[in-house]
Amino acid sequence: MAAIDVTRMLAQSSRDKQTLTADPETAPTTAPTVGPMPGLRDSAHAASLLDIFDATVAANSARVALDADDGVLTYGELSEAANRVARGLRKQGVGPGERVGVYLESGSWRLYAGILGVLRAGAAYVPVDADDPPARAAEIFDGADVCGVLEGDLRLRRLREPRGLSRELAVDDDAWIIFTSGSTGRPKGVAVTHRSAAAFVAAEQRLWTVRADDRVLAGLSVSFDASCEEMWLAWGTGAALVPAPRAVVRSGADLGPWLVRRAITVISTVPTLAAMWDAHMLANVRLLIVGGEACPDELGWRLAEGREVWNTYGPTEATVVSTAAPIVPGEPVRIGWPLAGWEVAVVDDSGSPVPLGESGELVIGGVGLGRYTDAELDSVRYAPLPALGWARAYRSGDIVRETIDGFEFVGRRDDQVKVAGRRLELGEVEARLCAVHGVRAAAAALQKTASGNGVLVGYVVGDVEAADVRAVVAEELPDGLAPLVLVLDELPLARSGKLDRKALPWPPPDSVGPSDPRLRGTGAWLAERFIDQLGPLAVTAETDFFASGGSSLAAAKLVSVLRGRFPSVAVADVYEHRTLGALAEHLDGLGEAGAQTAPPLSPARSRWGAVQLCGVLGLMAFTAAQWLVAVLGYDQWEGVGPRVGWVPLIAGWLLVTSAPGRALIVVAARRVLLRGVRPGRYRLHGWLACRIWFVERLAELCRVDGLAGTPWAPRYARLCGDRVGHGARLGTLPPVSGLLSVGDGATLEGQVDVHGWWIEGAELVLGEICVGAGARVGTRCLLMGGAEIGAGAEIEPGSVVNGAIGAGERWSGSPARYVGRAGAAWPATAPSRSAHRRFWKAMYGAGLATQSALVLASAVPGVLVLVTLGVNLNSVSSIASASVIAAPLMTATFLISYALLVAAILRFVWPWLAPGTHADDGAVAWAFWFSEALMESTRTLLFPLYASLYIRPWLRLAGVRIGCGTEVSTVVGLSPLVSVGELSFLTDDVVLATARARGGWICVEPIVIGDRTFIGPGAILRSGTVLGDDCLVGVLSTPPQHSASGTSWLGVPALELPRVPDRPDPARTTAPPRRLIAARAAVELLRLLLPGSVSVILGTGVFVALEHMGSADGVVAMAAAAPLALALAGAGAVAFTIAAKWLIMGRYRPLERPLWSPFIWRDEIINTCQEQLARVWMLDMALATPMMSAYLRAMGADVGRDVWFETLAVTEFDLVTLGDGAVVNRAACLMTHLIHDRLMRTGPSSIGAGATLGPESAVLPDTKLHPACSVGGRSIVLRGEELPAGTRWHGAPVAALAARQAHTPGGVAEPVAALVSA
Amino acid sequence: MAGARELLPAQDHGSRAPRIVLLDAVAAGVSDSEGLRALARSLCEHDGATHCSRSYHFPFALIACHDEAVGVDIERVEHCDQTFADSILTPSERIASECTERGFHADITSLWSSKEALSKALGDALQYDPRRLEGPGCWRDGRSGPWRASTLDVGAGYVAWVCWRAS
Repeated sequence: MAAIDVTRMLAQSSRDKQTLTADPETAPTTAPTVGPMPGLRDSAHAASLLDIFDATVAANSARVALDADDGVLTYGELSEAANRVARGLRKQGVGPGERVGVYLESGSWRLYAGILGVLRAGAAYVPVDADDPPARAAEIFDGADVCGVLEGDLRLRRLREPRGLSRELAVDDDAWIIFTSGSTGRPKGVAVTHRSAAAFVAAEQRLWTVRADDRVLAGLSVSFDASCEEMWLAWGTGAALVPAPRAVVRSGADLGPWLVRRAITVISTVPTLAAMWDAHMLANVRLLIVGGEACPDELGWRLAEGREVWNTYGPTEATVVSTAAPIVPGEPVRIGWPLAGWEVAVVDDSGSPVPLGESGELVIGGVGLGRYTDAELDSVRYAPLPALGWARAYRSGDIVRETIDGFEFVGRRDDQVKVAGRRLELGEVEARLCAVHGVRAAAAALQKTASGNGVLVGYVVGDVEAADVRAVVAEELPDGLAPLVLVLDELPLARSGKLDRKALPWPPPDSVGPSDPRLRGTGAWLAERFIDQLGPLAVTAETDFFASGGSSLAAAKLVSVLRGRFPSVAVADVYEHRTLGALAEHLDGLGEAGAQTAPPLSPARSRWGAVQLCGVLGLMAFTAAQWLVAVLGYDQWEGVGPRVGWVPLIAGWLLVTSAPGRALIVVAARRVLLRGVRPGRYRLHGWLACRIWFVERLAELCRVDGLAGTPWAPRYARLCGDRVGHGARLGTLPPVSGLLSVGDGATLEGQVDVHGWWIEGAELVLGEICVGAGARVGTRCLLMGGAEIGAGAEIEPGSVVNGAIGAGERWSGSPARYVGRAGAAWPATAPSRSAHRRFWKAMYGAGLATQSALVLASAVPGVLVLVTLGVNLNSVSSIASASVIAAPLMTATFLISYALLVAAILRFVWPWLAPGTHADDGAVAWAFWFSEALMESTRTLLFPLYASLYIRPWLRLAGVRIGCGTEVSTVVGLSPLVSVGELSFLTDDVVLATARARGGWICVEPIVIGDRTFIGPGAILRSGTVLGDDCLVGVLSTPPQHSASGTSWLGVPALELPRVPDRPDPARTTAPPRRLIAARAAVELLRLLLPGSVSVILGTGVFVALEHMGSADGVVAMAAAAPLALALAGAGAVAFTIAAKWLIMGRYRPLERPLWSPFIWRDEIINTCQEQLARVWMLDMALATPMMSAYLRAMGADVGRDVWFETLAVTEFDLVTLGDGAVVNRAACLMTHLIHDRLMRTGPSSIGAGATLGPESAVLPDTKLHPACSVGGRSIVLRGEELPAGTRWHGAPVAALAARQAHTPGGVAEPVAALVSA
Repeated sequence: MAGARELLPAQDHGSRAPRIVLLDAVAAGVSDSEGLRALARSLCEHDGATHCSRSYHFPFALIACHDEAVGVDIERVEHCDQTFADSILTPSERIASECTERGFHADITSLWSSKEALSKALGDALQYDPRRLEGPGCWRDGRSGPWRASTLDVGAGYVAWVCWRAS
């Protein structure tokens, strides 16, 4: 694009416009317009500044040239003074080509005389503002290589020998060298020749008119080239130059009067300064030239009211000004067209010109180009522009756009910033800020927060509110780019008077509140919390916490504050909901603390309690019937008492004592009492809840679970009315509610909780469960009401399902999560049927019979003992008295016989447990079922053997490999497939699932447990698990298949949680002295025999009482008295347990005791009494009734009113607190002690009013459930945790649930997201 | 390279420790966090170890490379209040941290940082609730089973931890 030189044309036209529209009062009235300079009419004859000055002096020698505070000089006097200076300089050898520094007091006539003097001498002057520090002056003078410095009263301080040439001044000699600071900070010297300077003066005169009677303000620092413009505005035309004190120029209030007093009519300044001036200050100013910075439209229009205003643009490197344009109100402020002699081009990054209208970098050529004193820098910055054929071209670094009306300034290339990923021109932001009503001046900058991220800040000056400005600007800028607005009294200025961007205050002096008006409620509150963490920030709903500079520590701090209001929030929530809006929404969903209160106690509860007690009596009646049959049988056999005949006796036995009879009773109860039960939420104190409770207890009493795992289980289920498909394997029997449907070929492994109902708060929640065809549900899973398991799906052991599982999917965990495809670890085809399957099917029956026979057989030695003692078996009284005395002996013989018999049988059966994959209708499956059934019975009948010294020898006798020193409690699944190392610890109810079943296959893999490894209560080890040494598996956890030594695991699925093991005294934990071993053996002997003996005595008592009743009053009286007799016996058992607790233990307190302590042995005695006496004789029937609460209180617990307590897994009673209406569901555990590291620690646990502990869940010591909070099934509340009131939790370990996320029966609750909040 | 400084764990565990590098953005001539992250990532790729962990606090980046699981964290010591401490400490740590006010902020920030390093070494850091994680800050001798941990000296006002699995 050729250089366009229409300046004159346009300037002419604009001047005409101005003349036409100008206010008559300011229109020139006296001298006519002064045309171009005399002597410079012909621009071809290049001239020097001195030529210009001489011409002015010649024409105006009597006019005032300089009106300074310390002197007024006419042109003649000024010229004379300059000449004097020049002579002095020349005498010292200064001449053309030389440089002289000028360091004179600003505002003084001497400064200007000095400058002109240096020029007259032919040298270039290098000005430094006298107010600048000497160090800076020295740097500049050194950089410019001046020979000396004019200072003080115009004396030259020589720095070196002048090299001045004695010749005439040439136009290409330097006129001045002015230093400009760049982005790197080190100032660069720009040398401008006379040719350029003179061309500049001449070009400006063509644009506007300055008359000899004008008075020009000299307010800018002499260090800056704009001061040259000021000087030559005056000296080029004969006007007076009026220097102003620096303070006056910067001040607002003082300037106005000063301008008037000094009659200033022409000002050249920067927009930032001009913005501070009111209109009335500029009343006499008729020509205003702004430059040096971008001038906002509004400012330009405001200044243009009543005067001629020009906007100029140009870098120091191209002699002060390169382009100019008049400011016309209503039209955008442009930089216009180049000065006469200047050439400009707009190029792209490669240096090629861009089309008209597109933006690019402005490149300047022509007569105005200066020169860097640093040659190397000069060659780079003034490199040629080949595209246009320019030998020298200065790249301005400014982005402009050419339009039909002139060039428009877009922005500094460096001022394009990136905010929130978007490119943004700071200039645009500034322009918009300026456009706001009331804003006088504005600046924008990209500041950094403490964490190094950018935040856009707008600074405004004016009588405005920051929030209002921001609201207006936010409407216009792209979303998310609205700046943080700060209102300042004034914008910081650099020495040049230009805006000093670096001095914009940051961080702001006082905190700024969230200013996005769209945020409401939780969002607004959350925005303030964001600002607390992130620093002052413009926060909108889209603000991303981490993108705005939040670290993980900041997120954790944010969460700790949020928890005050939303107790369930976790750090992972912030990662998952990164924007403020999403997080606010999530918080609202979580619900605030205390939102739910405990439901009031139901008025129906006392009536309901009475109904339950009747139910208990009914259950007693059933047990009594069994006793009746036994007593009558004895009578018949021995020929004493009432004899009813064999037929009724056998009928009675078949009905109430035989396995089929018991099963039929349960079938009848279900069909009668629970007909037509539908899913839903019911009142806890309602008739349905009562019926369900009763039938559950009855089913337990009748021990129908013995049928589970047998081939007849599905038939039994169908008899009860359940929908069980063809070929389904039921290792667990369907629930009494009848709401379970099992598809064809589905497999339910053992001990799966499919009850389908639980108590939450004051409601019975009942739901339907569907297990699809071919699906597999692993052992110890919990299927909540509403669970729908798709065809072929697989649920890993220990998982909790409360929603829909798709077909063919494999889920695992509490709560269950999708983990893969089902069937991966299984053979693809169905197994072929075993050769002897009919035989093995029959063996199930044999197995059931054997179990009963074993018990009876073990009682035989006891009878033999009596015989040996000479007891007359015919006489009841003699039996009675002998029994009381011989009870311990009888107990011992029973235990020994049973133990030996079981061991022998297991030795015989266990070898059939072969590792590998087998069909489930053969020997392996039967052997599993039978051995497990036997072991199950030992956990009841040989209960005191477990967790004692005697269990290990017995297990070894049966064939299990257990290392020395290992403690074994009631573990499910022990067999030769399990090998346990030394000094390990297997606690209560650990499940070693060596076998898994699906689709007709049973897959068996051994389990290996290393040395010194602790496995917590309820933990499940799946088949093939190998645990290393020194491992720890937490309560209810499912460790991975392989774990390295020394690792600790907690959760379902288990996460590795490194922990510091305690190292208590080995003498009390791992290597006890003999005397401790002996003491323990003795105490445990007591534990083995005492409860059993009491049972024998109680049993004998019942037997004797019934016998007497029968003999005395007949069968009917006996039948009527039987329940009462049993009730009394039960009461006696419970009383004994309570007495034992208080006598042996006293009050439980929080403490720490190593394993080999009498405390633990005493604890075990009480626990055994509870299990073998209280439970068997009474509590099994009284679970979840007010009698349980009474029992707990008697044992020392603090129990409120109307508590539902459906478990016996509680040991340290005094440490337990249950509030009114608290609910503890079946199989839940109040674990008030921990025993890892072989150190028992006890601590209190509290369940608040109306709080719920779900089925199979555990609370550890030092926990507190606040009122109305709810913990789901199979969850763990860890030590020290407090769950706030009204909140809902689920998981191992517990994680918060959203307030609205309910376990809705019948409906499908969503499966929980894969990322579980920790 | 400029701006990169090799660090050694303060505690010597005998076993092979991870390679740890501290990057200083200013000295390395990187102007923003994006560039710092890119530089850290390229360093990790260059190292070629199977496990790598990075942590940032502009202008610093901390990188650890190891053949087994490793986690690293750097934090600037910040003001911590009791609410925050309660929300990240296990019961036993809460007891152990009842120390003098003078060291409180540094102690809590350090405990936090140790948990971050550990949870990164364990794998999916977000799965771990710091209230349930016994941080290395309270480990005896900086070890727990197969895990080792140590503080790192990264200058005044900052705390840093590295945690790794010993082979």
